[in-house]
Amino acid sequence: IHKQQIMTSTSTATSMLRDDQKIVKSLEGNNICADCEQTNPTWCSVSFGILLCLECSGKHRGLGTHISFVRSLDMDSFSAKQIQVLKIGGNKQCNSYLQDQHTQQQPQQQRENTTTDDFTTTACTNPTTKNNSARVKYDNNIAELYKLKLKARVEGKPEPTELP
Amino acid sequence: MIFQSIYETWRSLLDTLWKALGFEGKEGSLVVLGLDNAGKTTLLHRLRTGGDVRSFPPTDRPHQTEKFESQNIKFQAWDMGGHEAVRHLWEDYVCECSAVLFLIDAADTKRLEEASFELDALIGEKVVKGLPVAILLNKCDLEEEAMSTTEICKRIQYDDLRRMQGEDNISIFRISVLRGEGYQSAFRWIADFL
Repeated sequence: IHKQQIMTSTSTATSMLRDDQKIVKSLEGNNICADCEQTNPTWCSVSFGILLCLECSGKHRGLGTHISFVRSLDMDSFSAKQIQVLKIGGNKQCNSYLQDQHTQQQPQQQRENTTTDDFTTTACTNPTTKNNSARVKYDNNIAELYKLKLKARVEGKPEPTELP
Repeated sequence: MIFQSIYETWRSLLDTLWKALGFEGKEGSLVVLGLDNAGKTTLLHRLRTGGDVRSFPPTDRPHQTEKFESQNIKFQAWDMGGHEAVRHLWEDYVCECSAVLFLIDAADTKRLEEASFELDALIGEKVVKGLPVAILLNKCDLEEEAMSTTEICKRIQYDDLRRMQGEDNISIFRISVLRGEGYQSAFRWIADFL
């Protein structure tokens, strides 16, 4: 009875269909966690449209749901919109965007010195980062804009080029 | 050496006093419920170690914590997963416990309805009948995002919950596990039931 009630109360949310999961898992970069080297991630952030491993999903949860909303591909249900975000997003896309924008924001000189620095994984795996290391990567204006871009694309609206 | 013996004398005196007052040996078993990412595991970690909070991976299956002390009472708690697919397990653990903690992420406006639905199912279907239920509004440190108690009470229809559960058996607390604030009063409230 309990289960049925849940289904009717959140009738817009459903567990992810196997076909959808397949599509999401086959997106570029989605075979490994967006923040570390773990393979076959089964957690996701529907805010960023990325897949995460169990450990890294924990860090995302610590940021608050207004920054990153974490779901389990196996244990949670999804709204149609959330599934859409996961299908048009992907780890490679998100990391490339964050990396590019991050590099562009750095002053020219610094940029030349740190050309090989991969911000998107070092930010999250650096054990010296105090508190929550995922905050460096995801709690900033660049990341905020990326979320808005994804949302706009799902809703069929023009992508914003700056924060409102 | 001297300090230690003074400490031990005091300690045994205090123990005698506690026993005389009838506090000795009070124990409580808790079950901690709430949607995923409400802060259940982090709260229990903080209670157990008293130390800094950190981010935990999501909890997939129920597990029992080691004993910890709060308000001079020894507690042991079941930490339950909050994900949808494992919520059906909640009922099975409730009957073994002397009190229920239900955590709500006060900063998560979008999922309050879902939390309310689960709470309503527990109370309305009498799963937690006769047990004290402490509703903990967590993440109140997020001052911009966290909703007011009044707003939450209205949206979860707290008056109805009180009526169903019995006024004395339910209470609501604003807490911040991150800052270590608020849950102490909840434990004081629970202590009166043990």
